Amino acid sequence: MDKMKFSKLNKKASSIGEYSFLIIFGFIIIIALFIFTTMATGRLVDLISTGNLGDNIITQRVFFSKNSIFYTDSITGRTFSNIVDHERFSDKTIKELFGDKLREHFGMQIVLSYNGKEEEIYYNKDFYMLAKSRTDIYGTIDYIRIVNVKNGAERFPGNLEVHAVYKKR
Amino acid sequence: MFSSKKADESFGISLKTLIGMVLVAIAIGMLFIFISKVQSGIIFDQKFLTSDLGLLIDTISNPSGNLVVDYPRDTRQLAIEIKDSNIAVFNPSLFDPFKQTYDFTQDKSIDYENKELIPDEGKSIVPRFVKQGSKIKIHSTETNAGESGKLACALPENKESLRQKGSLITVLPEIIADASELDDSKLKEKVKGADVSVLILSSDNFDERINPINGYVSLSSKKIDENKYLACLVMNLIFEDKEIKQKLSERKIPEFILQKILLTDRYEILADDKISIVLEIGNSWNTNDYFTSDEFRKKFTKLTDIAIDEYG
Repeated sequence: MDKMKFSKLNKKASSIGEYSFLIIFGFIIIIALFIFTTMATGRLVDLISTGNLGDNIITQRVFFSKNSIFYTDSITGRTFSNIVDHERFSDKTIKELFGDKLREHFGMQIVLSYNGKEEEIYYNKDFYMLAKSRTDIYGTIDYIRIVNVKNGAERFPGNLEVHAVYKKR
Repeated sequence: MFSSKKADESFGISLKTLIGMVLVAIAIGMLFIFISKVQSGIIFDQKFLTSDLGLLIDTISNPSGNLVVDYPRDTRQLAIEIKDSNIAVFNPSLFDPFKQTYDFTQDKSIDYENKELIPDEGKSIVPRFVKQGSKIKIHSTETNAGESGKLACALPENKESLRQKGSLITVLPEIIADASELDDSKLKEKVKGADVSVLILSSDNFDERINPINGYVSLSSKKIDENKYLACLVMNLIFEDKEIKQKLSERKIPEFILQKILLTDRYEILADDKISIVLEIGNSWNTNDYFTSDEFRKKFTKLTDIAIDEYG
């Protein structure tokens, strides 16, 4: 009788042991798969990474887009990328140029100096202020151009400075 | 009693074994799918295409003028979706756990068309980005040649019949010897007056070994799909015609290569409100006078007529 009880208990224990083994084995396989796929895809991400090419490309938008700060002739529809239209020189223009939602980890300061004056506009100002002093983490793109500034009917020679900051990838 | 206990036990063992086998099979299956995808480079291509297409959209958002960009890389039978300033590349045939996405930077003044491009089975999409004014659209140029060398002609959705009973249409098949003829006012009047105009020019591909057939449709046409369809039909007929093939071989002119139907603003002569196409056939560096001969003129007129019949 005792022998039978013992063998029953033994069987129960062994079946719990087998189930536990299966569950642990399953977990180990899932974790191994996760580590393997993460490593493999991580390697692919390194191979494909374009670094900060995207940030460089969109910085150029300030200089070439029809919707940027430059003057567009209403009759011919032609945009003059060397004439800054003072009416369009605003934070709102720049925000619309890069879409509605603020681009994360990207900020910009545009400085227009003409006729003894200096005016600044920003994209993602808070981030720009934070990032410009931390060049160990954040990269910078700087351009200076000689432009004409159209303020109403008047035109002045001036300088346009574009300073962009981005998180290094 | 004894046998039922044994059966219970054996059932217990087989259930455990079964669970174990299913777990192992799932794990091996997932691993196999992943490894085969990595090995075939599909995940690499998905990741590469997503970021490359995203950067391309960022780039074409920048210039102030209009442009058409044909994406030059093989899209490996993958589907492309543009939605709310995000581009995704995925496998269209099944649920794709490796779907890749890229957030491009939307210019608020530009209207980006939301679209999903799914390739036909066994074919790859050739994405074409068209920036016109304040709109950026993506098209699939499904018309790239298949294995037979022929183009797959996509039937336009709202195609009006050209050969309705009792109605007469005026068709202008015209071979242009020199591109400067396109500025000719008489020719412009003829194109304006015709219901259908098909103009043929020689291409000026610098490589004389290449003898292309390209179709051109006006970017501002109101009948882009109809124009593409007719261009495709005419191009296929010219490409397949045995007599033309024989003439090319007799004159030692290289065989035709069917290329693409392109949207363009290069040919101002094209009528926007009618069916009006330009075909570049042959290469001016190697075709001597065959494509301006009366023999080819007759052939081309006949083939245009057949294409219009096929168009319906």
